[in-house]
Amino acid sequence: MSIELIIADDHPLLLKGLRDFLEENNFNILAQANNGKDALGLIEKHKPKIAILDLEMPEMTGLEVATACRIKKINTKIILLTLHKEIFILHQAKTLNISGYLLKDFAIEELINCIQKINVGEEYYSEKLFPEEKNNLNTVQNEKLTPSEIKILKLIADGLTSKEIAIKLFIAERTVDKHRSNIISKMNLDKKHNSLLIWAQNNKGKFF
Amino acid sequence: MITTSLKSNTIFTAIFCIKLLYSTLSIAQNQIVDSLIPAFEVENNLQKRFELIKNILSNLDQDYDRSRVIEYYKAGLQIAEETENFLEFGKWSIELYEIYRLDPNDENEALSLMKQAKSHIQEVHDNRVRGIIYLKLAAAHYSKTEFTKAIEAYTMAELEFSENDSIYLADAIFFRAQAKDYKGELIGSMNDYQKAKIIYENLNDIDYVNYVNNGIAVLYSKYNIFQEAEKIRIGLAENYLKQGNLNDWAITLYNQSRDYVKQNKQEDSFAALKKVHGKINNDSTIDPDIRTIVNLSLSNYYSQKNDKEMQTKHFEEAQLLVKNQLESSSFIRLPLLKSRILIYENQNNLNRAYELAKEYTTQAVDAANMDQIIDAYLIESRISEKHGDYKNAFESLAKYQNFTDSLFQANQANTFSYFQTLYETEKKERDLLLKTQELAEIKAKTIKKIRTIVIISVLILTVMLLWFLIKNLKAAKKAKIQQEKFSRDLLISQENERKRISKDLHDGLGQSLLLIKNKIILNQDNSTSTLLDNAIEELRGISRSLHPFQLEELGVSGAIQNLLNQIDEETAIFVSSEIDNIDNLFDKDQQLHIYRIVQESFNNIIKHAKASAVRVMLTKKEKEILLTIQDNGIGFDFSEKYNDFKSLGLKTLKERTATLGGSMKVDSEMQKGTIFSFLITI
Repeated sequence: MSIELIIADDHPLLLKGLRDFLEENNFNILAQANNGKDALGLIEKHKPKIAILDLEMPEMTGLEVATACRIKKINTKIILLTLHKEIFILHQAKTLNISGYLLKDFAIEELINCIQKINVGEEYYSEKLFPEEKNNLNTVQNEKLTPSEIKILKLIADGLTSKEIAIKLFIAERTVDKHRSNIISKMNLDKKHNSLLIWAQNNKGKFF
Repeated sequence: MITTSLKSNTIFTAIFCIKLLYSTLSIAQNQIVDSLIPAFEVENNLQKRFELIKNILSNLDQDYDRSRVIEYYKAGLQIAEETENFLEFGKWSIELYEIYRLDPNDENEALSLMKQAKSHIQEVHDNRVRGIIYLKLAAAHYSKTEFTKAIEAYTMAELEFSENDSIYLADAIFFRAQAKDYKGELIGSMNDYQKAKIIYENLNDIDYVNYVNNGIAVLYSKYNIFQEAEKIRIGLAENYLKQGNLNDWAITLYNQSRDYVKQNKQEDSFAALKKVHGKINNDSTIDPDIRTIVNLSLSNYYSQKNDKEMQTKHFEEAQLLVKNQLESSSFIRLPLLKSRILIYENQNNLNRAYELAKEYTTQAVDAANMDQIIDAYLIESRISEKHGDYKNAFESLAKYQNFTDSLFQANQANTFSYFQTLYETEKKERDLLLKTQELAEIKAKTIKKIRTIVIISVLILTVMLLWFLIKNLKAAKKAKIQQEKFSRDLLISQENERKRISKDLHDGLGQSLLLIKNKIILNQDNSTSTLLDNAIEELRGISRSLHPFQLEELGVSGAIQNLLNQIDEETAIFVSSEIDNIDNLFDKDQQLHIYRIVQESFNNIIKHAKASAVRVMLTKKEKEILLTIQDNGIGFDFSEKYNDFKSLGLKTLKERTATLGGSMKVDSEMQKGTIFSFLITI
């Protein structure tokens, strides 16, 4: 049995394009709406497995519909399909009750994959949402350094002590030390005192 | 009665001369004089001779030979005239006049002396001496009964005396009043009396005030203005009695009894005489003249009453007084004669009465005393009739009538003009009073009016000023409110416009680009697809910066946090923050403003500050929130930047803070960094 879907978009051409595309790929479109409120009504009515919503719609936004679903305890998984590229949605996906987040400009390439992943209980967030990696440092556990860590790393490379860094960046020395240990663990460095400084100076070019 | 007043006049003058007498009465020693005289005889220097005479005169005894004294004075006067020492000449003339004055035979000498003194008066450089010369000249004329000339001289004297010589001034006016009285100028005399009285009163010279009052009373009764005369005399008599001056008291009452007779009030007259008689008849200190005349008057009264006993009794008392003390008194001669006639008449000794009546008439005419002349004719007529000389009786009666009529006419004219003047004066005074009152009223009204006008003007001005100030204040306030409203509206409409553009870009252009992209993907055109991706990405950026979409989803706290994360990621600036949740404290518009404040602050920092770290604190307090954004950049001069119109960023920050009803503070230090603080009331 094909997966049942509800779709919503306030832009009729895109809505039609989306519907055609999904039907071409043998998905069962239960209903479609061109505003948030209608979409919520349809979800309540049909209780589909998955709903694909535009973020920005009249009456209610896609996020508001998602929040409403969670409040109403509807199990329908929400995929946001939007032109907006908002990292915060990604960061707060759980609270916002979002299972998938795709950018419209890359929907054709990713949509099928996304639906299937979500159908089996996984989450899917488009790779295109993430900014391009600026550094090419090798990290363990596939964990990237945060921007703050990179900035601190630079200062360490310049030879500043934790205290100096703390004053310069208006933060507590303890916070600097915490960043240090995070970097050390992310880069899998020696826990010795000077190892981070030596490493930072040696690898200066890599994070500029 | 006129006799009595003349007598009073003599008394005044005597007192007056004592005031003026120089040193002629000083006790002298004849030896000194005798030793001086030879030196005087041989001395040739005029100045020294003059000094010697002065010396001699000052040492002369009172009973020194009068003619020699006069000679020395004359010699002194001659020297003074030759040496042109006219001040001394004047003084000596005055002194010599006083000596002449004591002897009625020297009247002519005295007058010519004073005339001579007057001829040099222009060279006398002392206005008091000049005044006294005029006074003496006037007195000389007066005693020669040349009243017109006397009045002239008194007037000159009056002009000479200054205020410091007010006693002389009063004397001049007083004597002029008497001179005018004799001349028959009732009104002029009365005016002068009043004038003199005022000066004497100011000088507190009670005696002279009394003299003047006496003069006024005499004047009134002379012109038959009896009521006024009586009024003054009653006051005078009281004064005299208080002073213990029985003599003058008696004279005053006697004069008043005469007035009663004139008014045919025989009983009033009798009462007054009786009163005086009871008090003074046996008082030897009282002038015998007055004691005598009172007795005679009483005798005459009883004669009318046909009380022969009392008539004779009083006559005899009078006779005794005359015999003992007044043998040669001219004053009492005629009244005594009259009373005697009445006695003979009552005794029916008509022959004797007839003879004496004729003699009385003759003497009265000689004495030129009008009252006595009239009285005498009346008596002569009556006695002649009784005696059987009807012709003489008729003639006397006719003369009596004639005199009475002429006197009456003269007095009537004078009295009429007096009352007319009095009436006119009163009328004038009343008019003047009325006018003065009117003037005062008008003045008061004008002042009131002016005051009212001034008060009203001040009030109006104040009100206008207040109104103007309030209006100004209101206008300023209104302008400020409008300005703020305008800024707020501008910001809001700007935001709305941005939002609209953002939406249009996103929904319109964005969706169109998507459709295009879908087509391109279908056509497998990868290079165009990449270009299109870039375009879409750009569109996204523009759209987002135009309107923070996440604000509506996340609330201001989340949106700010998101913004900070984004900045942290996309720039080299190290951002640290502590953000309290303030989402529920502000409405959408306010949240947008707060978000914009953070956003614009960062725009400034990124553009200008060259900072490597920024710390953002958003602290929720009880009634306000505090937002601080601190950077470690190069800092700037706030006032300089704020006044720079290109620095729109700062202006917008300020406007947004104002729109939120908050305050903004900027602490900036060159090379150290900047702290923006925003305090916003919840």
